[in-house]
Amino acid sequence: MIKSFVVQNFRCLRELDLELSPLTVLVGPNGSGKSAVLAALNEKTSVLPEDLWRHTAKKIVRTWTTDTGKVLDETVPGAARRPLELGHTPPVVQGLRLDPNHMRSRNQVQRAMQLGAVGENLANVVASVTRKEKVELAEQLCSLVPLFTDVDVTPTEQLGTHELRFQDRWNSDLWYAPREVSDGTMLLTGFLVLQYQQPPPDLITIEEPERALHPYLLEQLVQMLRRLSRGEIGKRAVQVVLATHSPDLLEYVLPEEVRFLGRDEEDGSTTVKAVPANDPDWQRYFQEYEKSLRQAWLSGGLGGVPGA
Amino acid sequence: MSLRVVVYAEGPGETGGSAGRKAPGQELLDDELGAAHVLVRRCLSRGDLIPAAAVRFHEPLRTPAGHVARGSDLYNMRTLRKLLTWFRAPPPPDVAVVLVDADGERSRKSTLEDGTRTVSQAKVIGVAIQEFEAWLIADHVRVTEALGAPFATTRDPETMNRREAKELLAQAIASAGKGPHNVRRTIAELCDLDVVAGRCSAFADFRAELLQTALAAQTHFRQ
Repeated sequence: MIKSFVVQNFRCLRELDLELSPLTVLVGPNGSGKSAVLAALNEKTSVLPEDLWRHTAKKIVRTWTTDTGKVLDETVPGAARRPLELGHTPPVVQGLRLDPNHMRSRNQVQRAMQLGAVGENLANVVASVTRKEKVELAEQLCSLVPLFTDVDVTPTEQLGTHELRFQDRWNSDLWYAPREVSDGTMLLTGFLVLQYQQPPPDLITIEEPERALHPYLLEQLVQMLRRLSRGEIGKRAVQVVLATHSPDLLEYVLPEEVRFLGRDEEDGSTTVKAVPANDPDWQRYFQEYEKSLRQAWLSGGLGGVPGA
Repeated sequence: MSLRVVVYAEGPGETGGSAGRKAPGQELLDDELGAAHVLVRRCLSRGDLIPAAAVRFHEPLRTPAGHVARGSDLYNMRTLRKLLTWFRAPPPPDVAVVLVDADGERSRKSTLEDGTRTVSQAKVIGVAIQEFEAWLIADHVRVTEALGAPFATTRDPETMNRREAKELLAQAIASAGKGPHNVRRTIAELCDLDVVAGRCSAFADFRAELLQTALAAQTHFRQ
């Protein structure tokens, strides 16, 4: 598990020290640096000269501190990457910004055990999981979206391609093509399949997971991702970092899982603030806010709001 | 040394048109202040116990739904308690001022005070009879000056009916062809506070309580 991540000179992240929990939720206004943090976490993110802090810094420095030690990476855009120290491999990070339209696309049939960044190979991933996993996946999806009783992959008229299909709850002979089902259904299918990826990544980052989801489903999604992050589902624990603007999502996360992002008034660099969940002052404050992170955040008393 | 103050009030007529443009806790610039801020600053700096320049206004918290607190939000005890409950950063103000209209409800001040008694934030709850505009129209001479047109009423502002002072001022501003925000602020800047206190008992109480609370909150100003 990545316990902390320090990044210097990457985009708006002049010097950011981020403590990570199994499930971490980044909250902040537009432009606060959430996407930059997600990009920086992934060692494989390609770095351009304009990614340097204020276009003037010389190198980007990142340090991942994991259970087993530290991994340091120094990147000078345009220069050859300096090899990492032997025995210190950076965590494998999967960055997702799932897009229902891409997730609906037909796939050229091939084995795929990792979901693509926008979910473009979802049909292949669903087709590649084991029969038992596919049954589980269908059960989970259909309990969340009870319009359906099964999800499967079916060949299309275009040779060598297949796509997802969803079985109607009231008429078992009726199967819906991806274009006929909601964005939320597509997204949930993508989120559910994450537990079956092989090999699992060390960490998954997800931008705006709340898009197109009903608040009830959002709660289910957060619970599923938390279980994934704790190793309660899936092949092993996969850390998860979410970036969101959604007050609804905040209702379902724990205070200690949230990091509020903002900008420093002096130099505009991204700042991060965690909730001191065990502090008696916090507990009194949180009690007054009826233990609602949504309310506390929207009041502006925790940072991570526009204008900050 | 500064005195951090936030002001919650009924609407933009009191707090100016800039409310909500900054994040809670951020300092407001002078041109972002409304008539209520100006009156509060003048009340605090009266007698030179607190220098006017030391009174700094900050953007208040928003409601739990994320909007700028207005009117009815301030009468909702659950909301008002939250508006007066700050965590560490942004740092809590030294004094929170809540300015509401009585609107014919005699017990409003005691109701709000009772409901927020256990909130640790230093606060002053001012309840204007019937409304904030009663304070603004109390000094006819200065209202005339701010309007650039004659202004007079025969009745004491606190004896007026609900909305009467509000409408009287609005009509006078419209007749003068001036911007309401500027006129209200100018009146707040020019009015003789003793005249206002003499005609509006609620303002006299508010002024005394505000200074006392601020001095208690900031002991260094008493030295």
